[in-house]
Amino acid sequence: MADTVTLTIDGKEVTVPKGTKVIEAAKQVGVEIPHFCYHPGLPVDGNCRMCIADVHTWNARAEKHFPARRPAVTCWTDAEENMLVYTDTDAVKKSRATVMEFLLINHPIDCPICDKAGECMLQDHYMSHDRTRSELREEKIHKPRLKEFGERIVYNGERCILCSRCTRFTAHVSKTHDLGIVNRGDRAIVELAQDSSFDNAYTDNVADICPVGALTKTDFRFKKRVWFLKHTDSVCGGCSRNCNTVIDHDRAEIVRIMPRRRDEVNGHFMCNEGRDIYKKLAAAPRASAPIGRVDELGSGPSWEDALAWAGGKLGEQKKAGKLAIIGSPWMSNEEALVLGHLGAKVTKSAWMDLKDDVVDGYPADDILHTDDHNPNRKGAIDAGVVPGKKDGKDLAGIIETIAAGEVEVLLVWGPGLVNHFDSADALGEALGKVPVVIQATAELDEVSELAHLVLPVRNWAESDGTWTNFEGHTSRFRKALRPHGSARDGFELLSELCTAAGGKPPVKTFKDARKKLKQDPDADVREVADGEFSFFKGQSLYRHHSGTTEV
Amino acid sequence: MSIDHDNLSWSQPAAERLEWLRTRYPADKQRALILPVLHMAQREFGWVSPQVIQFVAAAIPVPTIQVEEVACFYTMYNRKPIGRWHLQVCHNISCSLMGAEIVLEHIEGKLGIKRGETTPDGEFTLMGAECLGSCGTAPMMQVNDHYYENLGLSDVDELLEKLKNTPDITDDEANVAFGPGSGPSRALPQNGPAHEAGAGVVLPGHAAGGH
Amino acid sequence: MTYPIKGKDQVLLNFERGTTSWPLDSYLTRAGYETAKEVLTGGKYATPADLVTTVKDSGLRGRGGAGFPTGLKWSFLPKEPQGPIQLVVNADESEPGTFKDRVIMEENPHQLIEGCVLSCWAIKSNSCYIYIRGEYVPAIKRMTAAVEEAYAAGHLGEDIYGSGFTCHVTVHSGAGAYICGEETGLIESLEGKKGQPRIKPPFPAVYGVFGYPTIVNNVESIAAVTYIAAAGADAYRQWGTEKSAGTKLFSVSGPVKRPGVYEVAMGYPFKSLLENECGGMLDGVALKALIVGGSSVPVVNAETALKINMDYESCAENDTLLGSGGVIVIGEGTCMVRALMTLLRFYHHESCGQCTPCREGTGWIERIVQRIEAGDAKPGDIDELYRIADNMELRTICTLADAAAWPTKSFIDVFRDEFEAHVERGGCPYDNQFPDHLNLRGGGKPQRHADPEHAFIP
Repeated sequence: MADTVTLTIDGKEVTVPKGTKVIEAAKQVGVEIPHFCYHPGLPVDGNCRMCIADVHTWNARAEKHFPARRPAVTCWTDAEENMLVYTDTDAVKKSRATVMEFLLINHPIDCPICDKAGECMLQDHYMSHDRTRSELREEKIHKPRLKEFGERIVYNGERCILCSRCTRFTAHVSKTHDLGIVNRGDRAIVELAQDSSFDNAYTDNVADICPVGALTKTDFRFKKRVWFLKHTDSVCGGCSRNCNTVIDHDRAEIVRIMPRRRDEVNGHFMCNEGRDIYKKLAAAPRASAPIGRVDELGSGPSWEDALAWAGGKLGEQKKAGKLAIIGSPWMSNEEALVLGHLGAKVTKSAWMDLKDDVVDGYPADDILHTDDHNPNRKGAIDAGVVPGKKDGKDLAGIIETIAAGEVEVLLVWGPGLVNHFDSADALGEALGKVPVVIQATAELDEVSELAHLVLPVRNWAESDGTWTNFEGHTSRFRKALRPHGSARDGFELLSELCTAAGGKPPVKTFKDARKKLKQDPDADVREVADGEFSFFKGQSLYRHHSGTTEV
Repeated sequence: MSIDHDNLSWSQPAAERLEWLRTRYPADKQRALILPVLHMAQREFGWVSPQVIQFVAAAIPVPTIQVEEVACFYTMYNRKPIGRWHLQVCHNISCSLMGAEIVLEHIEGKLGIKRGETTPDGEFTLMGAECLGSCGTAPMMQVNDHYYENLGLSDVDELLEKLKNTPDITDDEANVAFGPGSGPSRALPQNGPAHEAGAGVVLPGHAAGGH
Repeated sequence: MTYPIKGKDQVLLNFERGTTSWPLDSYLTRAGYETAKEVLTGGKYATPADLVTTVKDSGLRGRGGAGFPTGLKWSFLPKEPQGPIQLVVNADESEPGTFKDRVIMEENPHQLIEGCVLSCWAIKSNSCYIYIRGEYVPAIKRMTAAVEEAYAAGHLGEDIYGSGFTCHVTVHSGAGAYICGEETGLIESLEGKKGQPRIKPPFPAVYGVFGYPTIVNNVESIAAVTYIAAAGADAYRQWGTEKSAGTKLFSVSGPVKRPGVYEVAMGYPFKSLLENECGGMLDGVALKALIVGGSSVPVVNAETALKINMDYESCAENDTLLGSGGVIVIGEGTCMVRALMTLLRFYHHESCGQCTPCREGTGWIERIVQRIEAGDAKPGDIDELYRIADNMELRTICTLADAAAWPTKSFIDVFRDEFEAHVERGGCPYDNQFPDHLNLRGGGKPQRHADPEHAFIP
């Protein structure tokens, strides 16, 4: 008994696993069937009727094809052996135009003031499948236009096409049962349950999946027209899930963060914490140039001098063996590869471990959020920052060693070391026992007030790299923003430090680093030209995501 | 005597009936209780207020939104208190052919209210209704649980008089069928259509008269 | 055992109308539950499959409106059912013009219950829900009381008559929604949700209420099973035509002398029904149009009406459908635009709102017809109305959109001149009113007169 079926869609044969819906089978042969209510991350509802196609099933007994008894919606229809599907006939085109007409008769002409314009499925499908003038001579139905669903989401009943994506989301994905559709017929509207304040961690997804501008986010309302946005693939650092995201930015500023589909990592969604993370990023204190606190460097050394000095101090530890390296679980795999090499090979052996840069955030749940508020612990360890490699000393051991006055050079990557001390004072006291403290960081913190040399590094939104999540899936983030001041790329900086310390970096280029890291085969590792920004300007957002037409 | 919707609790017979109802549906599909329990709650508490919705959701238990959806979808659940006597005059085709509109206009004149409204003294709420399954005895109306068929205008006048002078009744047989309760609504009524929730939905050209 | 013969009333209305025919005692005088005993304990049918075959052979077609062969529907149940099979009796009777199931439930409820037991036995179900529309309080009262009587007397429950067969019946009341008459809308409502129909396939026989294999049948169909199980397929076929076997209850309404519910053999000419059973039109009112099967079927003019026989084939030949058998007679002096407006108000009110063409379309066409009736239409509006109704058809999950589209198109097809007159005049030739038949009814007593159970006694 075969587990697959072979059917023909618009003359193209395709073989799919049993249970695949026709609309998904069609995607595999490049046939995009227009739809509204269908979403691959939600249970099928089949109410918009836009995906109707001409479906003929094979009857083995009669040995011929029969048309479906009523026009079939391809989101619901299972692909069957020998099925014939036609999506491009005049009848199907008429059907789509008809559905569009019905959807538009009561839809307000809000495009000039609607956030969704430019990434609106109704607009796009109208342009592709309708383009007829309105025949309506009646007044449109009026519904409440400004209902607050909690603090983050606003609902406009007139724009709503009642596709039920949002209600299915709260019932089946977030399982919080916040939203429902009340009333019959054309009086129907979406309502917030009376005992819900719609403040769960996943509320904003409903605005993403809304095909029209009925659900909008208070964080984005009237902020920016989407056609000004550049879209850059990225990854969320809020926890070790590493939801794949898209950074939408304009003029060097992040405007919003949206989820990007990655079936084995986050599916289609992300949590609100990750969406808001760009605010944290913008508020983080930064340095534009190296900061010095030793006489040889002065307070504002040049990069050349800073690197030479740091390299010298690190190189000395080859013989002395009193180097401690505290890496960051926010480092990219590529940076960690070089840092690990620096600690293990170049300086021959350093005590190494990662710290907890971030200890606060959303609690772990059984949807997406994990209990590690940092993105790349597993990746950094796998890439070479192996805790306890020397003398079995992990971070706790390293801190003891510092307290005992036995660390001569401390290299810290990133902020948050204070999380491992009782107070900033305790941290200061400990660091006072270390003769050379070098910090390379994107965000300044308590260590930056005390370090002998602070090397500003680009943050993840300004860099290209990968993280590996707690389940071992690797994801790629790309440069979205210009670097802050003269902040250096982490991977390049570390490679130069290797050289300055008298050794060799482990690989020559970033591309080589990608090859050296044993990545999981489905990692998203599309290459773009070195140094180029990766953005997709002006495209409807849902079309951009990983080449599929879903948000 | 009004029921305090901030302090809801089942009467003993209602609580017992709820337990009996549970046995009629599969144990893992108790959502099926929503319609019967809402009926019972409406009879116990007079009308389906937001507190009643919360109460019913907790009693079954199901998420509140599921009860809200049901309460707003079906016409028999009154989302606002209505008059003591709920006059539902069928205005569908067979009844209209036989004079339903005449009956409706007559009642509107008699009571001084329009379809969809309640008399200021809280006695009568008048609605136009869709087919009630009495087409052969048209025109007709449903008053609370009872059908009054073959209506002539004088029949209507007589009936309104009778109703005005009748104290509240408890229909034991109806209560057996639907669940125990105090029978017809006794809460103070408000004006406006009792059925359409989702306040603010305006249909152009529609009088507020139908369900 | 034979059923008492009273003219043509044999299968369903087999009792004296106007008497206390609903209690168990009365039913027992009509050979009540004897068939159940014979089938459950007497080996009347070797296997349940044999009873299914008998029902198939009888030619019984679903009496709710769709007319799907009942035995065939039963045979769709899978051989290996994934869950306990359920029988659901559709007593949601809400099709305008239809009021026949009410008569069975109020005046002969035990025949329905016995039909449930027999049908459950045939389809191997132990559980039956009778979903009665919430407004039918008298019917709910009578059915609930009858079910309790049946349990008390051992006709329902565990191990009935010691046969080892268990049958549980639960009366479940709706809450006011026409769409719950659609079988999957009913199933959703029974499950405690909004009555929004499901997409088929899968059919209820495979995936029904609570996900279990389910058969949904109309009240009249199940009540007829009692007769068929007793008397056999050939006996049922003694009436009717080749494709429309047996008898049917017709609910007649409108300006006739004796409106009401009549049981006649399928194929009975409408002309005879009108003139004999119903006593003809009210004095001074001529026949103008006929809606023969409940408001969702196409309307026909008087000339066509008088050619129709009450069966599926004849109706189809005359561009209409037998439907639920809700016979709505329309007399001269009736504005057909106003009549259509009344119907469309109904469909607009009842649309569940789930799918686009019906949700938006029913409101749209109602508003257009309102404008035409108000005299506020332009010449293109009639064709526009037709076009929209045509666009609504077939593209929806259930047939409510079709049920709104067919009357719209047929009213325009058959009475286009009236629509055009509204447009040309800029007003209604009948002054925006229905004729005053209210004061004409003295010409005859309606079939069902007010009885103490229905009248209010303070």
